[in-house]
Amino acid sequence: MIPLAVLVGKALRFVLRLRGGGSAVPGRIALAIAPRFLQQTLGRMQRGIYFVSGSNGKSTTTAMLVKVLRAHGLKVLSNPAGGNLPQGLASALLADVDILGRLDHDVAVLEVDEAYGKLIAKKVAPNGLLITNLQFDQLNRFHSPEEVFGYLDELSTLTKDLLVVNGTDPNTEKLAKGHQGRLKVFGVYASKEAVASARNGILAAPSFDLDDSDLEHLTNLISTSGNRAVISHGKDKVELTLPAAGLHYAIDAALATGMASRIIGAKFNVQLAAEAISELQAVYGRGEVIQHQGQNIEIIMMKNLPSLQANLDALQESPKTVWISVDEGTPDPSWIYDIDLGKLRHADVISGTKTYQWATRLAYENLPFGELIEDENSALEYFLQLPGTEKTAVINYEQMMWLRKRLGLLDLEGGSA
Amino acid sequence: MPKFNILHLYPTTLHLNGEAGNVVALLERGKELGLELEVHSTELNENLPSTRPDLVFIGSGILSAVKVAAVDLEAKAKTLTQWSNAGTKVLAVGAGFDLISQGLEIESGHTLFGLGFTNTKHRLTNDHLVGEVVTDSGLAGFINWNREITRTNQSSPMGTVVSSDNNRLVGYVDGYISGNIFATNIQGPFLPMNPSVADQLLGVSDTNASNERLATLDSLAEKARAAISRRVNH
Repeated sequence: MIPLAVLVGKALRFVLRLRGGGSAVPGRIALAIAPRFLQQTLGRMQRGIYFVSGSNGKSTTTAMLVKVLRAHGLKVLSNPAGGNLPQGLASALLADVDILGRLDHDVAVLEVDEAYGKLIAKKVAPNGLLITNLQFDQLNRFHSPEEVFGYLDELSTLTKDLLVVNGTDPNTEKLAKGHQGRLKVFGVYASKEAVASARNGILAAPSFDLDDSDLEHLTNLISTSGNRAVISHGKDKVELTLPAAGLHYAIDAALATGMASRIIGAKFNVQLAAEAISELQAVYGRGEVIQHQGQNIEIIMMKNLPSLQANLDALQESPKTVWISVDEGTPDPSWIYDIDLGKLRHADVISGTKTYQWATRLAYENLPFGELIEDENSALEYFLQLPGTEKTAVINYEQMMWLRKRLGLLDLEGGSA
Repeated sequence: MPKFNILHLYPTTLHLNGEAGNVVALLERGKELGLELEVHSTELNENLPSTRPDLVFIGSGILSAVKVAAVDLEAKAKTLTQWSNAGTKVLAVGAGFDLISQGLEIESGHTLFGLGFTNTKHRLTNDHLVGEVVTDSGLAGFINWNREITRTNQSSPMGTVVSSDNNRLVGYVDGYISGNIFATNIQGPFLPMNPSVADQLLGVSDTNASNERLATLDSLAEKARAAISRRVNH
C-alpha cells in the first residue's frame, strides 16, 4: 500500500500547494491508504527517532539539536513546527520519501505537542525523548500543568531507551525519576548563578512532594549573560552564542547539547556542538528581529506567561517604541496580571481583540499607553509610521504569524516542508 | 485616612491565572478612594496576622496546591471563622471558592477541608467548562472550571451566565455572594474587569465620579467587557 499512499499523497500535496499553503490533507489521505505509513517510513531510520516536547522552547531546542547532529555529519529529518499531529507529520514526510516510502536520512528529530505526541508515539515509538520544561501554558486548553505532566509521563512511557529532561525544572526532574530503571535517564542542570541571571528565574510550574536528589548530570549550564552561555559536558567546558539573549535560550542550548551527545555517542564533539548552535538564527518569532523598510522590529512573543516573562526578563533596556497586539489565539489573557512587566514601561499602540484587557492591565500598573486600535492592520500602519528605527512588537503567536505574512516574509512555519 | 487591611492567603501556593490582579485592583482603587491600604500575606505553615483584616483574598491553584492549602487552612479555620463572623469580607476565586465552601470532593469518599463560609458543596469532575462569559448581573470574564456545585439551600450566586462562546456555559450559575462572603470562578481577572464589585468590597465608591484615574480604569474595563459581550453574542 505504501507506493499508492505515496503517489496519491504526493500528487495531492502538489495540487494543494499550487493553490497555496501547506495542508494536513495529503498526510491524512496517505494514512487512510496506508495506516502504517509512519512506521514504514520513520521506522526505518538507522539511528532512531527522537522526540522533543515540553511547554516552551520546543522549536528552538529542536532547531539546535538538528543543527548539532548535522554538524556531526548525520542526515537529520525534522518536522516543521505545527506538523505535530500524525497527519501533519505524514504530510511533511511526503515531501521527502521516495515511491517505496524510503527516507534518505539517518535520524529523525521531531518536535511533538505535549498532548498529541502520544498519537505519533503509538504509531512509531521514539528511541529517546527530550523534555524542555513544564510551565504554565494555554490553561484554556490544558486546564492545569498537572494535566500536561500526565501527558508527558505517558509520552515517556511510550519511549524506548532514553529520557533527557531539564533537571532544574522540578516537575520534569520529578517526572524523569519515575522512569529510572526502564529508561536511561539524564538531567541537564543550570547552575544557581545561571538561574539568578534572569529576573524571574526559570519560571517553573508549582510543584509539591519533591525529593532533593539530582538525576545523573549530562550537561550543565554554568553561566549566561546576554546572548552568551558557558556549558560544561563531562570534563569539557565550552562557550557559545545563543540565537537571542535569555536564560531560556541558554537552557535550550544545554538540553540540545546533552541530547546530541547521547544520540551521537563516542564521536560527540562538544566544541563542534557549540559552534553549530552559535551559527543558529532565531526561530520564527523567538527573539527574532524583522527588518522592514529600514526599521528593526524585535518580536517579543506572548505565547504564554513563562515565554513572555522569559523574553521580558532578557530585555537589556526599556524598549523605545512598543506595539502590543493580542487576538483570539489567546482566548484568556488573565495571566498578564501575573507578568512582571520589568523593563516594559509603556506602549505606543495596543491592538487586537484583547486591546482593552491589555490597556486595563497597563492602567492598573500606572503605565502610559498611546493609541488603542482594535484593528491590527490599522495598528500596524500606525506603528510603522511612528518615528525611530528600533521598534518592539509584543504579540501573540497568531499575530506573529500574521505579521510575518503581512510584511512579506514567506517560509512560514508549518508551510515550508 | 480610613485604614483598610487586606490579607492575601497563600499568594505563592495559590496563583493560577492572574488572580493576583484582584489584589492590585483593590489596592489601586482603594488608594484613589482615599483609603490607607495595607496588604499582608500568609503562606503555608505561617501564622495569621494578629489583627483582624478587613478583607481576606484567596486565589486559585492547581489541584496539588489546593490539597496542601486545605490541610493548612484547617489549622487556621478557627481564627478565620471568628474574623468572618466579626465582619471581615472574603473574596475567593477559582479553587479559593472550594476552600471556603463546605468541602471539595476530589474522589469518592475523599473530601478536602473547606471553611464552610458558603452553602455550596463542590465535587471535582473531568468535565471542564471553558469560555468567555457575560452574566445576568453584567459581569464579564473567562471561566475555566471543572466542579459540580451543589447548593444546599436558598443561595445567591454571583451571577448566572446569559451568554458565552461555549453553549454549555449558558445558564451556568457562578459563584456565591451573601453578606460579607464573595466567591466566583470568573477570571479576567475578576475585579479589574468588574470594578463595581471591587468598590463593593472596599465599602466605598466614587459617587461623584470625580476621580480621573478611576474614570479611566472604569471606562477601559467597560470596553473590555463590551468586547467580550460582542464576541459571545456574535
